[in-house]
Amino acid sequence: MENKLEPVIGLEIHIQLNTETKLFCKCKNEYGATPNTHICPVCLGYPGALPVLNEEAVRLALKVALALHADIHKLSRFYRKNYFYPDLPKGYQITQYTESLATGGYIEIETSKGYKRIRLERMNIEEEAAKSIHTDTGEVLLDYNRSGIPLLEMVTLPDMNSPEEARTFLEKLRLILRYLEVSECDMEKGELRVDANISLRKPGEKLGVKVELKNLNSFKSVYDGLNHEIERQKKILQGGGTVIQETRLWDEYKKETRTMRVKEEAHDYRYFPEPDLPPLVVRDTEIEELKKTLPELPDEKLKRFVSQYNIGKDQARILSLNKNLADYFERAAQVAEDKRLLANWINVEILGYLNENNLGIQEFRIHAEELGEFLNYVSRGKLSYNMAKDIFKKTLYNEESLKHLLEEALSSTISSQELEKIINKVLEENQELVEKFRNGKTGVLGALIGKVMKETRGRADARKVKEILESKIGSPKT
Amino acid sequence: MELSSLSIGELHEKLLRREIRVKDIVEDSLKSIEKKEDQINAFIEVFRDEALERARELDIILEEKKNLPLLFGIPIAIKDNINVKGHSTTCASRILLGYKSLYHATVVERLLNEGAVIIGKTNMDEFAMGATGEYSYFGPTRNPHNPEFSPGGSSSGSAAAVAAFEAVASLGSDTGGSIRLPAAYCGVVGLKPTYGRVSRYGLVAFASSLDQIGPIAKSVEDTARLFVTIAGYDPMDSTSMNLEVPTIEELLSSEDVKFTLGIPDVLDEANIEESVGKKFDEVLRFFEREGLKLKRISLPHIKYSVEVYHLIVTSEASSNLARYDGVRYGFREDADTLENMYIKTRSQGFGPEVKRRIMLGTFALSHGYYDAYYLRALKVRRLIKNDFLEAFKDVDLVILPVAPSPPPRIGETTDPVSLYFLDIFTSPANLTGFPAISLPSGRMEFNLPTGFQLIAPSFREDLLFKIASFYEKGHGFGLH
Repeated sequence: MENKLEPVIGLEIHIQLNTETKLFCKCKNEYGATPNTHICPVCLGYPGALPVLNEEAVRLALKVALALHADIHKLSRFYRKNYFYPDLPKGYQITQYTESLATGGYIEIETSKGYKRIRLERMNIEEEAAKSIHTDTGEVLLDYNRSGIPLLEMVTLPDMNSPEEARTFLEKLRLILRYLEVSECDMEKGELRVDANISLRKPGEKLGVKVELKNLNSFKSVYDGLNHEIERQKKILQGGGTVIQETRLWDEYKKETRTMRVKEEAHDYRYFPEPDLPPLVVRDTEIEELKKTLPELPDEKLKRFVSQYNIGKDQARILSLNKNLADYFERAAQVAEDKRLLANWINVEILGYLNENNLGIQEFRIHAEELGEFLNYVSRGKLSYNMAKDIFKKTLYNEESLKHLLEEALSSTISSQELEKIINKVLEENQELVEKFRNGKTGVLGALIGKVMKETRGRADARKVKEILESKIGSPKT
Repeated sequence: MELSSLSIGELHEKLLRREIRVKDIVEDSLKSIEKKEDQINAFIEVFRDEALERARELDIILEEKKNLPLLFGIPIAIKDNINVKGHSTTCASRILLGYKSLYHATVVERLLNEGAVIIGKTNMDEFAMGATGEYSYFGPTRNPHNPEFSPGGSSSGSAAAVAAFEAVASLGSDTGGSIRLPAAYCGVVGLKPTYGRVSRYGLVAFASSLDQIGPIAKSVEDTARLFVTIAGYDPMDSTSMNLEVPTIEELLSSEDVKFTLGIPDVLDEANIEESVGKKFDEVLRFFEREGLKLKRISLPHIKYSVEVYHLIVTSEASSNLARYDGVRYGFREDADTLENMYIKTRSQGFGPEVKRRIMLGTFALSHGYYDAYYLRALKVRRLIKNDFLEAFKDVDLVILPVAPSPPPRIGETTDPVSLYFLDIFTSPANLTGFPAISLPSGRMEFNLPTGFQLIAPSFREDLLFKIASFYEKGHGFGLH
C-alpha cells in the first residue's frame, strides 16, 4: 500500500457570461451569428479605440462570487496580458491579475466518502479572444464576433483527488451557473472551458510535479483525459522516473495526452495595470442589492423540497438538478395533492420521456397545473396508476389531448356500486378461497383480486379492489 | 494679408459683417498650404475638396446666423494620430499605410459640432515619439520661422501649420511635451489640458496614462475656444472626468491675477542654454513688475522626471503598439510563417525610434524587471506629484521654461538620449496629470522663438487662461 499514488487535481475554468453586449464595447454577445458581423473599432483593436467596462458583466460575475461564498474585493484592477496572436486584436488581453475581483469561496460536492468542499482560489473578469477557424486548405479564418465577449475565469485549489471528483465538481458548478442564469455552460459552444492541473503524490507527502492538461472539450474528456494522464504519470513514477512540468493536450480520438509545450517555452506575458480603465470599485450597497436577486441554489432547494413536500432525498435531488424541472415540480405541486406521487411521476414518467426524446422540460407539452390535476384523479382513486400511465403515454406519443383521453377513461371507469356488486359476486362464487384466506393462507388474496379485475375488464383500481376485499373478508385467524 | 493670420474672433466679425465668407477663409488657408508646404511639410494629407464642400455648406447656414458657434468656418488642422472618419490616420508611420479610420475621434466630432472645417492631417514624429519632428515616415517638418531648424515635436506639423498661417488653429497631442515644445519653438500658444479633461477616444495611444489632446493656436482666446469645445466628459473614454467645463468668459477674465508663481529649485541645477535662460528671466521680471509674487519652491524629485517618464512611456508604448501586427489593417509584409510575418511587418513598418522604445518597454515590463523598473517608476511618479501638491499649497502656479535649449538644426542631433532631455521641463505635467500652457516669450538668435510654460493644479485650466490672457495683453508674445 505504501506505493499507492494519490492524484491531486486543480481546475482552471473559463465561463462565457451571457450578457447582452461584449465586455468593453456595445457589440452584441451572440453565439452563431454570421462571422464578423458583431464587430466595432473597440473589439477589433483599431487605433484609438478605448475600452468601456460593461457593468452587466460585473454584476453577473459578482453573482457567481456571492453564490460560491467568495470574498469580493471592493477594489480590483484590470491588467494587460501581452502576447501576439492573430485572434488577439490588441496584442494584449485585458484581464485581472494580482488584484482579483474575488478570492476564496468553495463548492461542496458529494463523493463516495461523503461531502467535500472544493475551494476556489480566485475569480477574474477578462475578455475573450476572437475565434480561429482552421480550414481544410490550411488557412486560418478569424471570427471577431467572439472577440471581447466577457469571461469569468475561475481557478480552484488542488482539492480534487480523482477524475470523478473533478467531474462532479464541474457538474455542480454548471448547475449553479445555470441557476444563476449567468451562463448556459454549453461546452460545445465554448461557453464553459476547462483546463486541469494534475500531479501524483504519496498521501501525506508534498505535491508532485504537475502537468497542465488542455483541450478538454466535454465533461467526459475531462474525466477520460485525467484518467489517462494519471496512468501515464503512474507508469513514469513507478518506473522510478520523474514527471516533467509541461502542458499536454488530450487527444479524444487517439485516447492519449501529448506534449504541447514545456515550461521553458512558457510566455512572459509582461502584465501591467491597464491604463485605459480605472480600478473596478464594488460598493457594499451594490453587493446587498445583488444578494437580494440571488435565486435559491440547488443545495438549498433540495433541502427545502424534502422538508416542505416530504419527498425522498433522491427524488428531491433529481428535481433540483435542473432549475426548470424544479420550477415545473413546484408549479404542479400547487395543484397536486400527493407530492410523493407527483415527484415520482416526474422522475419516472416525464424524465424518461424527455431523455428518450432529448427534450428539455421547457419543451414539454403538458403544463404543470394540468399534470397536477391529472394526478389528483389517481390520488383520489378515480383512476388507477396503470391507467394513468397508459393515458399519459398515449398523450405523449400520439399527441392526443390529455383532457380528452382522461374524460374517455373516466366515463369507462367502473362505478363504486358496480364494483361492489362484482366483488360480492366473486366472494360468493369463491367461498373456499375466502375460507383459505381466513385460515391464514393470505396468498390467495392475489387470486381474488385477479378474479375481480377480470370481471371488471381492468376498469377498476387494483389497490382499491384489494382494500375492499380486505375489509369484506376481515383478517386471517392467527 | 492672409486671413489665416487673423484670430478666430476677427474672422467671425468679418463673417458676421459679411465682408468675407467661409469659402474665402478656407481658400486662403488652402492657398497658404499650396505656397508653403514644399518647404514646411506640415501636412500629411490636405482635405482640399472636403474642406471646400464644408465651406459651401457653412456659407449657406451663415446667411441666417447672427451669432456664430465657437469655431464656425475656422480651418483647423488635426495631428495625424487622431482619427477622422474616412481618412487615413498614419501616425507618420509606414505601418499604418492603408489604414482608414472607421470613426471620428470624440474631439473631431466636437470640433465639427462647433462649425469647424477640418483642413487636413498634420505631420508628426512617428507615433508621437520624438521632440524635433524629424522621425516621420513622410520626412521632417521645418520651422516656419527658419526652415533650417526644427519646429519641435512631436506635434511638429500642428504647430508649424498654425505658425505658417496654413491653418487658423490645430489639435496636437502631448505625452511628454509634444504640444508645448513645438508651440514654443514655433511661437504659438499650446495647451496640455489636465489628464482626463479631454477625451482620448480616437487618439492613437502612445502612452495611455500620459496622453492628452490639446489645442495649438496663435492667441490665448483662440486656444480657449478650442479648449472649451473639445473638453468634457466622454462615456467612450473611461479615464475622462465628469466635471463641468468653464465657459470662454470664465476662462478669459483677467482682472484678478494676483497670483503667486512658484519657481522650482531645479532651475539652479538644470543645464539651460543662456539665450533661453535670458528670455525666461525677462518673463519673470515682467510678472514681478506687474505685482505678481514669485516664490522659490522645492520639487526634490522632479530631477528624475526624464528617467521615470521614459520607463513609463516605453512600457505602455510597447503594449499599445502591439496591435500593429499586419493581421487586420495597415502595412503587412507576407512571409512563410505567422511569426516571420510579424517580424518582417514590424521590422519594416516601424522606424528606428519607435523600435527602440518598443524594445526598451518590452524589457522594462519583463518578468524579473517589472518591479525594478516599471513599478519603481510609478512610485517616483507619485513622489513627483506629491512634490507639486505640496508646492501648490504655497503657490497658485508653477512657472518653467518649455525646453532648456533653442530649436536644434534639422539633421543635427544624432544621439537619441540628448533629445530625451528636451522633455525635462515638460514631462512633469504629464507625469502628474496637471494642465500646462506654453506661451511665446520672444525671439532668439536665427529669428527663432522661445517660450515658457505655466503649470496649474488638476482641472484648473482657468488659472492658466487667466494668467495667459494677462501676459498676452500686458507683455505680448514678442514675435513682431
